[in-house]
Amino acid sequence: MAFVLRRLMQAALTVFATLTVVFALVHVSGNPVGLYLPVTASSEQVRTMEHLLGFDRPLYVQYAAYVWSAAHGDLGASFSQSLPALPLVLDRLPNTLYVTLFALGMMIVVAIPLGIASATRSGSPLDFLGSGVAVFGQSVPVFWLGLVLVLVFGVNLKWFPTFGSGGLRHVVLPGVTLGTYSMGVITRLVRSSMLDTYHSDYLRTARAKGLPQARVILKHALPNAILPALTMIGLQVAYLLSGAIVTEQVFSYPGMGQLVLQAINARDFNVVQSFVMVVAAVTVLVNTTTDITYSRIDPRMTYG
Amino acid sequence: MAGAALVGLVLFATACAGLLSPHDPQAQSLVARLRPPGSPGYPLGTDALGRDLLSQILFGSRVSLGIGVWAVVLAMVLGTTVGLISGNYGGALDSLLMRLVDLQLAIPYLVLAISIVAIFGGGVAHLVVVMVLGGWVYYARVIRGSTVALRTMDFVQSASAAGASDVRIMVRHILPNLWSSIIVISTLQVGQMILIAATLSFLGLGLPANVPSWGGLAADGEDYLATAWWIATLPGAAIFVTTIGFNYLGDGIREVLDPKLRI
Repeated sequence: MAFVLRRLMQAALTVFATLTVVFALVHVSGNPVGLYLPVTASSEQVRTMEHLLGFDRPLYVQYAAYVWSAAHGDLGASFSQSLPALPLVLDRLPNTLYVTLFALGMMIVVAIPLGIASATRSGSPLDFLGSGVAVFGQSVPVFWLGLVLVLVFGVNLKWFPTFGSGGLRHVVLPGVTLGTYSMGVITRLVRSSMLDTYHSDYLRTARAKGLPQARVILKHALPNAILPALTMIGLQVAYLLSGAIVTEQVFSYPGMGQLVLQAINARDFNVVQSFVMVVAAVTVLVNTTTDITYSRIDPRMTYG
Repeated sequence: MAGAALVGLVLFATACAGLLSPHDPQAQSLVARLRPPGSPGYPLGTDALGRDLLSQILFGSRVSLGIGVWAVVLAMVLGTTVGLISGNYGGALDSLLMRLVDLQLAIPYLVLAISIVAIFGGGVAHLVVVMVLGGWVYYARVIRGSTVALRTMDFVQSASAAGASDVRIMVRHILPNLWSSIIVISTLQVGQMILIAATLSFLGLGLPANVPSWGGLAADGEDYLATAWWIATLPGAAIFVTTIGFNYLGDGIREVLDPKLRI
């Protein structure tokens, strides 16, 4: 219970620290009003906007007001759409989550079994496939993979749509594009972890007792070998959410990533800020849940 | 070996871009627009303005590799310095520096990069800063851990007892034992930095449009994917080959330097 409370406090601190970092970045850049006005704005317009946004107040007052508003879910308004920024981002969150979940599914359904097979059949074609997937996944540019998939499966074979949303078929290509890097990371990690575990004394004992290979791997080796991968899968969620920016750009997929790119081009910083906070919050939630789940599986992990 | 060969090939092509390029990479020719690979005079085809793609890729490699290497060097210097100081002094300073590392790792890298570009704008300098911010934490963490372990070794204790200053101990006694880790991390990071730079350029958040880069070339070709697939895909293939080369090279160096990894 103490561990759970500690992790929840750390999670809250991380979200708070992210808020502070965003606030600091905005003010380090100089006059933050420049983020909300075109470069051709007159000094009168600048002064008016400063007063409107509260940037003429002392820094500590601005910070306190900023944190207070954020705590109440108010991260400002979108200048390009004249709507509250946070709800705009949250509206797009489900679409991004569909692609993220597809990519996560790839990790669990493909990467983990491939990593296990690669480790337990060292030197076999499966081992080469596993190593190949790991290297490919960590070397391929995500945007390039997306473009190639669009070309092959969308334009030439016409198996999947190449843009937009509207069902599972719209999620496949973006999901595969997004999940390839993480699949490489998880395959490599599971393979390495299984290799470390596979030659342990307790597994040798299990084999000596005559247990079938499948039982040795699934019941004895896997529970210990999978733990680092579980943590890494949790960490990969942050990568997937932010990596969706690239994927959604390639596939014109209407998720958070597409919205934030449009916001940057429109100098709509409140939307960018809202996106950063949503990603940070989801990341912290997933990592905290992973850590708490991990501590239930392995009580040795109830450290600070 | 494969990694070294690939990296060697890429470095050769980069260094000899002027000799290997059949055309000026910025020379436009409306009559040669959208020529496919294998066209006479244009081995990899041309883009929408009739510019030779092979020449653009070769000259773009100088920008992409140059930025990648610079970012790694700066990240290495910053991260190694932080890691050495953190591991050597310990205590409150160590806690503060490692909490900074944790804070940065808690914020997804691309999100941090986008925030910085949104606030400060694009350009070469900002791109390098963004990449350094992404890379230094790995050096800091690894170097800090190794420094903590090395500080307990007899040769370091002896140097301290002999009156050597902290700076001398860190630079002359601890750092030489960290080079193998630094080399491995740096080699692997070059590939990742090239990927990051290309991705940010593809999104329009990196280099200006008039600076040729692999990511920018791919972005230019996106609109012509159905009719002129080579414009977007061939620069991406160059990135892929370069990154895989550096990854293989880094893995190979790690295997050579760490006998436990030789399977």
